[in-house]
Amino acid sequence: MRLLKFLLALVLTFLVTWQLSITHKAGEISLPAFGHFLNPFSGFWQNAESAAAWHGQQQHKIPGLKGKVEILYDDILTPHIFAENMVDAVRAQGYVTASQRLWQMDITVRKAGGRLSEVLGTRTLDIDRRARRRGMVFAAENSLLGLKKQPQTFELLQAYTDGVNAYIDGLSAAQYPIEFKLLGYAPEHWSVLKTALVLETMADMLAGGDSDLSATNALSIFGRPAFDSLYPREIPKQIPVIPDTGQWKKIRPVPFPIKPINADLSMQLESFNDDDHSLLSEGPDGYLRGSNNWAIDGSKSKSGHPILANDPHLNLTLPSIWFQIQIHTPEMNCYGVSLPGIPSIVIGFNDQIAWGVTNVSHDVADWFKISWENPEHTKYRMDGLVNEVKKVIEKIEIRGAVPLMDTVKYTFFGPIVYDYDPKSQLHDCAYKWVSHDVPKENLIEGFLQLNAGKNWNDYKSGISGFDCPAQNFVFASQSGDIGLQVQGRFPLRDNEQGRFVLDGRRSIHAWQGYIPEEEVPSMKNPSRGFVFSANQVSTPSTYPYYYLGNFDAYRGRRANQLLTTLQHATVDSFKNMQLDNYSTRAADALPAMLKLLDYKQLDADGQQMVAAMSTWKYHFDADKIAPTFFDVWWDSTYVNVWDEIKTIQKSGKEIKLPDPWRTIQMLEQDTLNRFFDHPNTPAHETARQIVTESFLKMEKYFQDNPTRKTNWGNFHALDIKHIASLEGFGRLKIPMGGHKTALNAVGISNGPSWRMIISMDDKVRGLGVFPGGQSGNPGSRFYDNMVDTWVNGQYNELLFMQTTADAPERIITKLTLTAQ
Amino acid sequence: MRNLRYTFLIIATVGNISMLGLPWWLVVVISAFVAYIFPTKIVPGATVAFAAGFLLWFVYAYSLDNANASMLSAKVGIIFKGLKTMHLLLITGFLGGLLANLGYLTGHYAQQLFVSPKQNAVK
Repeated sequence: MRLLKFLLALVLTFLVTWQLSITHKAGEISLPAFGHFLNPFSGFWQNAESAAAWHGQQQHKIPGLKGKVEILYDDILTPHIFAENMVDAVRAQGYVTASQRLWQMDITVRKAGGRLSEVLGTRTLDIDRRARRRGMVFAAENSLLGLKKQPQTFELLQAYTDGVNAYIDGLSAAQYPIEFKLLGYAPEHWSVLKTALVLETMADMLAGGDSDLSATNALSIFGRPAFDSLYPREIPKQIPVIPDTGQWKKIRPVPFPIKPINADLSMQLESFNDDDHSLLSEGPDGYLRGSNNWAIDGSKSKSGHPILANDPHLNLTLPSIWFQIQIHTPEMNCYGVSLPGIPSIVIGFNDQIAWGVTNVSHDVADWFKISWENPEHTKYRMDGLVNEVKKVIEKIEIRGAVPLMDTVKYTFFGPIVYDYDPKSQLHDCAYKWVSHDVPKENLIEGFLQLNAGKNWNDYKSGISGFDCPAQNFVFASQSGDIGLQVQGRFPLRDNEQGRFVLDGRRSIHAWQGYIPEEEVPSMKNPSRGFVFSANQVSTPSTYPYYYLGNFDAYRGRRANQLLTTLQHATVDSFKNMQLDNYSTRAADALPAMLKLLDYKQLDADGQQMVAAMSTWKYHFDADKIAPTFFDVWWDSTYVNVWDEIKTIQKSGKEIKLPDPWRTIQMLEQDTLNRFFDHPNTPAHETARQIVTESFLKMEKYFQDNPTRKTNWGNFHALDIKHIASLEGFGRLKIPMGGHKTALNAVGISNGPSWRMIISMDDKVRGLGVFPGGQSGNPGSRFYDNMVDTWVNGQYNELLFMQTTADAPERIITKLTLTAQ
Repeated sequence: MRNLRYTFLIIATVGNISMLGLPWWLVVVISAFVAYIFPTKIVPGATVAFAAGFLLWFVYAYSLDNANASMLSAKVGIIFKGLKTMHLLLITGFLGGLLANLGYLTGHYAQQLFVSPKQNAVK
C-alpha cells in the first residue's frame, strides 16, 4: 500500500512537471510551457528589465578580438562603438545587435529561408514552402558566392557572425529573449549564410513583386486598345527621378535580334483560383509602400551647406526594422541605422558625406511558361532541344509533425514555383528574379566603403555593387556636392519584354544582359539645386532602355513642388516636408469629383459633408473630418468605376485594377468612357452617376457605422504590430495624420520607418527617429520609447561622437569588450 | 512543529538555488528531500510545503515585476486574454506551491517506505 502511494505520488509529480515543461495547443492557439514560462528563475519574469538596468559599466570578454572595444550607450540606447580596427568594430556590432535584437534576427532568417514551421508548426507551412520554392535560399547561397569574392570582407562577415555567436554562447536560458520562451525554442548560432538571407528579405520585400500574370490576363480579356487605355505606361504629371539633360543622346542600345514572344495562358484562365498570391500584383494602394529622399545644395540652404533627408516607408513593427548605431575606427566614423543581421550601416552619415535610399520599384522578376516534354514534367523543350530539370529536395522540418519533403524543379530560367498547386495559372511557369543571380560585387564591402566614404567618387564606388533591391541612393557631402544614383542591376529588355508572362520555349526570351553601369540614370549637382526621389519613374521616356515597374504618381510631385520653391532652408524646413500631409492625389481627384457630383440628390447630411470637403486643403491632418469623408468617397468611387474588373477578380482571376491616377484622369477628361457604365444595369451610366452613386454609398456607410464618422486620426489609426502579431507587444490604434499619397506616408500599418535629416555643416548635424526603440525586449523601457517622439513629429538629436569623452551627460552606460 | 519550520524555511530559501542557472523544477527535488529528512504529518507538511513553494516563486516574481514597474507583466497579460499582473503573480505562486507540494508528497511516501507505523509519529 505504501509502495503504491509512493509510486502514485512519484508518477503524478513526474507527469505534472513534464506537462509544465512542454508547449500545448488549445485549438489554433499555441500555449507556452507554463513551467518554463512562468517560473521566476528562468521564465518571462527575468525579461522584466529593472529600472536600474543600463547604468554603470560592464566588461565582457569575447573570443577573437584583436584589441579593446569600448561601447558607449547614449540616452536612447544607441551603441557608439569605438574600436581599434574594422574587424573588431564589426565583431562588436554583431555582439551588441544580438544583445538587443536576437529573436528578431532569428525569426527574420527563418521566414526568409522557409524555416518557420520548425518552431511554429504546420500553420506556417505554406509560407515556408513558398519561400523555398521561390528560391530564397538558392538566392542567398548565390549571394554568398558574391560575398566570398573578397576574402578580406568575408573576414568581416565572419567577425560579425562570431560576434553574434559570442553573445549567444554567453546566454543562459534565463536571458533568452521572451519570444523564445513563449514559443518554446532556443536561439541557434548565426552564420554568414543567414546574413545573406537577411539581404534576400530586403530584396524580396522591395523587389520581389511583379504584375506579369495580371497584365497577361488583362490583355487577353480586354484586347490591346482597351489594355493600353487602362494601363498606360507613362504617368503624365509625374516628375522623374533623373530628368533628361541630354546625357543619354550617345547611348545606342544593342538591338534585339529576336522579338520575345509572350506565353499563351488563356486556356487556363477558367480554372485559376488563388487568393493568396502575395507574390503577384497587389491592389494599386498596395504598391504605395514607398519612401522619400532628397538633398539640396548650398544655394538653397540657409547655412550654405547641403542638407539631406530620407524616410523609407515600410511595414512598421516592434521590434523596429532598424537599429541605430555609430561605428568609430581609425579609418571611419559613421552613424546611422543598420539592419539586424547585416554588418555596416545602411542609411546614415559620417564626417564628410550623408546618404539615404528609396526603392527604385523596377520590375526585376519575370515568368516563363515551360513547354513540358513528359507527363512527369521533368523534361522541357527549349531551343528545339529537350532539357532535364534539376531537382532540389527541400526538407521542411515541422514542429509536431513529420517533415515535408518538397521537390522543387529548377529550369534554365529558374524554379517552377507553383507546380504543387494545379489551380495556379503559373503552374507551369518558371520564375526568374535578379536576386537569383550571383552578385557582381560584394555588397557588404560596398556598404563599408560607403560608410567610410569621403566624397562623390567613394560613394559611387561604394554603392556600385548594390544589385538588388535596386535603390535610389541620394547623396550630399560637406564639400558641397549633392547627387542621386539609381542603383541596381537592371535587365536589358526589348520593348515590353517581361510585361507579360513570356514563352519559355526559347532561351533568348530570358534577359540578354544588364543595362551597362555607366548608362544607369544618375545625376550630380544639378543647376536646380536639389535632387529627390519618391519611388516615381526613374527617367522620362527619352531614356533609351525599356524598363517597367510600379511607380508612385503623387509624392514625387509634391516633393518637387516644395523643393522648387524652397529658399534659405534649414533642418526645420526639412522636418516640415517629411511631416507634410498634403495629398496631390486628393488635390487632383476631389475637384473633379465635386464637379461631377449631382447635388440635387443629396440630403442635409450630404450637403454638410460636401461643405466640409469643399473648404478642405487636401491635408490629411489627424484632427480633420474632411479627409475621412474624401477617403471613403474616393475608395467607393474607385471600386464603383472598376466594378467589371472587380467581378473578374472575384471569379478568381489575377488582374490588377487600373491606377488611381488613370481613374482620376478619366473623371477629369473622359466622363463618358465605357468603363463608367455598369454592365449589369439597363441604364447607361457615366462618370456623373458613378460619382454620385458612390457619394450616396459613402453616406450610407457612415449611417451604418456612426462611430467611423470621426476625424482622420481616429479613422485611420495606425497599428504598429509586434513581428509575430502578439497583441500586448505592439502599439495599436495610434491616431495619426498622414496618408500614403502624402510625403508623410503614414498608413494603417506602414509608414516612415526612419526619419533622418542631415545638415552637412562644418560640424555635421543629424536628426533622426524611428517608431520603436533600440531594444527588442518588450520588458525594456527602450522597447517603444521613441514611438511617441515619432508620433508627435519630433526628432532625436543624433549624438555623433568624435571621442569617447564627448557628451558625457548623454552617456548612460559603457560596455568594454576585451579578448577572451 | 520543528520539522514543519524546517520544511518551510528550507524550501523557501534553498529553492532559490535555481537562480544560479539550475533548473526551475529543482523545487520538486528539494521538497522531496526535506520531506524525507524532516518527516511530518502529511496534511500540515504538504500544506506548509505548498505555502513555501508559493512564496518562493511569488516573492521572486513580485520583486522582478516591481523593479520593472509591471511594464512587462501588463503586456504579457494582454497576450493571455487580458490577465492582470496580480493574476500572473498568483498563477506563478500557485505553480511554485504545486510543485513543492507534489515533491513533498513523493518524499513523504518515500520516507514512509522505510519506517514502521510506530515510528511514524508526530515530531
